[in-house]
Amino acid sequence: MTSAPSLWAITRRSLVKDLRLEWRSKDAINSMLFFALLVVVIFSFGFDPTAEESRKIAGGLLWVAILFATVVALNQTWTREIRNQVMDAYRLSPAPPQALFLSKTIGNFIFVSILEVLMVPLFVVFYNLRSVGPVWQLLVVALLATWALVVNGTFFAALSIRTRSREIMLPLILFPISIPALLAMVDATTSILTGDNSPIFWMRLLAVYDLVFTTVSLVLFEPVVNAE
Amino acid sequence: MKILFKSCLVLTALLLGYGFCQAMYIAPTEATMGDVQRIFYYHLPSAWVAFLLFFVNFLASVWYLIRRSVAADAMALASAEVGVSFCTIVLITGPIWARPIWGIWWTWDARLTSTLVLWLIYVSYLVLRHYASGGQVPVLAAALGIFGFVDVPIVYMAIRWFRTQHPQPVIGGGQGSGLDPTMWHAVLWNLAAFAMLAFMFVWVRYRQAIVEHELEEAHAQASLDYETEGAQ
Amino acid sequence: MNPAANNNAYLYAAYIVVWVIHSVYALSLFSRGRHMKREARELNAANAQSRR
Repeated sequence: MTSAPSLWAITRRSLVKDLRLEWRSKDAINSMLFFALLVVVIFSFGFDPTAEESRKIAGGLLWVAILFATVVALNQTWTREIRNQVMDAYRLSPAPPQALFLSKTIGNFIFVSILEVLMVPLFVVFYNLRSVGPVWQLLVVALLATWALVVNGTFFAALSIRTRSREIMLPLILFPISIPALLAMVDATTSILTGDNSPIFWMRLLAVYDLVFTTVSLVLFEPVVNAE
Repeated sequence: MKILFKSCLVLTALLLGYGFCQAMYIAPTEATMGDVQRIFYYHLPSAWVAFLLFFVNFLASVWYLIRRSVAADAMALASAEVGVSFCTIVLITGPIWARPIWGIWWTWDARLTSTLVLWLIYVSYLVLRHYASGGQVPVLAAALGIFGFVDVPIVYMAIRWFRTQHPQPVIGGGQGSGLDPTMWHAVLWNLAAFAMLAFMFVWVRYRQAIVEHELEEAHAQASLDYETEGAQ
Repeated sequence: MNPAANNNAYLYAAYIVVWVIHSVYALSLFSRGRHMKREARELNAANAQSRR
């Protein structure tokens, strides 16, 4: 006699399925990688600063670039589900919808992190960046910031599935809500790069943001998905 | 009901008139800023009313997700619309006040900037409501209303910290500045007046939202009848 | 003489803006109300028609 699978088990299974599908088709990752590369290059053409200036603006530019790449990635996430009518299958299954949400969010987190791993070295090269502050802090900021973008982004991507002009609706809804997180990630990055200020408050703010919105998303996901 | 509505309308007009007198004539002229400071008596109450309306939207959104009632959804829509209207007023009167006093239209003042973000959030709510199609829009909007309101304290904390890191002029005086007691009269009368005005707007818009819903149902019913008749 | 008297233009501008915005919103309510009344009347007429 087997017990019902735990939330975590279902999440992991769903996530593994997504990653395997993604690995086989490679369509989303490839287009996103190229998009990320383009964004970095184009921004570099637009802004050609000295070393001192570059430390001040690189944070803002990098996170804006990642934000746009994330939106492209997010729109992808649910399209495949719709195409294969997987949403209906999930709704019929006894599995908790939170598992679906978590697996999607973690999947997006991994994808965006891969993008960052590509984009950041490019930024460093193009802007001759060298951080005044400790690099491990930048890593923490990146983890918290990426989760902040991805958790709300995944939720709202699900939200905007059935809406007219879906592609523009997602950023329109996502950006205002994300402003405090964006402010935090940009200012934290700039603080660390220039060494002018302490990023600790911003890191705490990002942690609070992540906690609050992960909870809200998990709580609200079920009524939303059942409404589709 | 009609009589109640009409008498509330009269009360609103009276309050607005008296509030205007308070703001323009009865309240004393401010020492350093002069008469321009009187904008404050419209600026601050509008901000409080807008915030109250967004709170109502939050409550209505939560209620809608629990009960799925048409009334809750109508209230959410009405309060968001009127809230955005008052919030727009705050964002325009703020810079108009700032310009002659500090010589700049805009400053990343914590309160004004937080208001801007608040405005953006609820405008995105209205965009979702008006441009998204599908019978599930009320559910999605309710979720967005909840997200938006939960975000507000975080927005305020973030921008306040940002401001202490990058100091700028503060509109309306810093934390320490108090108001002359006679000035409080003007603030409170106008608060009552604009709260009544908001109440009237929401009342009307709420009723209209309910009727809109009924009309939609009637249309759907009519086309159903038409089809069944055609089949006969 | 109030030294800041020339700033009164800003004061009036602000108050006018407030009333314009409220009036515009009130007008939008009126026009929606009228539109819905007409729609309701048409629906009633159509219903009455189909019942004959």
